Amino acid sequence: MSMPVHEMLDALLSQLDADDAAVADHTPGPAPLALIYEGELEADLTEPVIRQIRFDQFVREVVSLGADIAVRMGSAAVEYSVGRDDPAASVDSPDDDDSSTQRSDTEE
Amino acid sequence: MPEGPIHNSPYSDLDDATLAVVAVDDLEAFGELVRRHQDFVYGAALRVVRNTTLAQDIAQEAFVRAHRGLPNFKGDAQVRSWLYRIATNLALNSVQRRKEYPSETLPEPPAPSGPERQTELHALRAALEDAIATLPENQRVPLVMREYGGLSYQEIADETGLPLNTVRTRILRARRALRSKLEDWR
Repeated sequence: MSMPVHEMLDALLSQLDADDAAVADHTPGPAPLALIYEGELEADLTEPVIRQIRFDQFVREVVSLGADIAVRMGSAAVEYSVGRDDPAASVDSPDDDDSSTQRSDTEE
Repeated sequence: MPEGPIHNSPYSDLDDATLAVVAVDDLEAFGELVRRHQDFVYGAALRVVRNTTLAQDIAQEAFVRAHRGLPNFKGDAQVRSWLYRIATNLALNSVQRRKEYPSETLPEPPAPSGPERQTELHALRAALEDAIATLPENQRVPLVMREYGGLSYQEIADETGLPLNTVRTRILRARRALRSKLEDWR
């Protein structure tokens, strides 16, 4: 930024004097105030912004992975339950032995 | 833009609109967009919240949101005015959350040391802040949108919900008032 301050002020005053009646509604303004305030920021935001975006992306991926795991666990549970209902599948199931033991315990 | 190491970015030759397209899937490209506009976006937030720390947080959040919104950015508006709108909306929400219009004056920038130009610039900014602060809010907001943000009259009308002619009238009045105050200062 090297424009002399009085030129900035002149540009601003000239803009303030301008008759914008003929300026089209969609025409952007020259924004002389932005020139005057240029250089106010004393830090560089690039690194913190990129870090924040990466963190957000990481969180989204973790949530997505968590949801995927939950879906797979749900599917496995359904599949397992279906297997338990199938008499042929329960013949060799060690769980059944446990449950029969429990039943006999209860009967006693 | 803060002075710092020179960035030999491969994207420095791209215009904003092209950069915005590339940056959807490329964080390095988005970093270039941040470098180009961070000073302007910070200033936009600072004009509203009048607090340097808060303005910096808002500028950062504005860029994060802009990155999320990039896939939907149609390019029918300038990148700069799009970022300006995101930042000012966040800043206005922040002010509303605090349930008070920030009446405190901006903190004094560090005392200029050395170059005469810095002293003059410091004085001009202070005079401008004072002059803008005395404008009624219904003139100040559209004036800052136009003369700081560079928004078109139509964009200001869309943002404020005011009729186009009202926007033009208020900006004209604000300009006259600001000009008179600055002429006195000069």
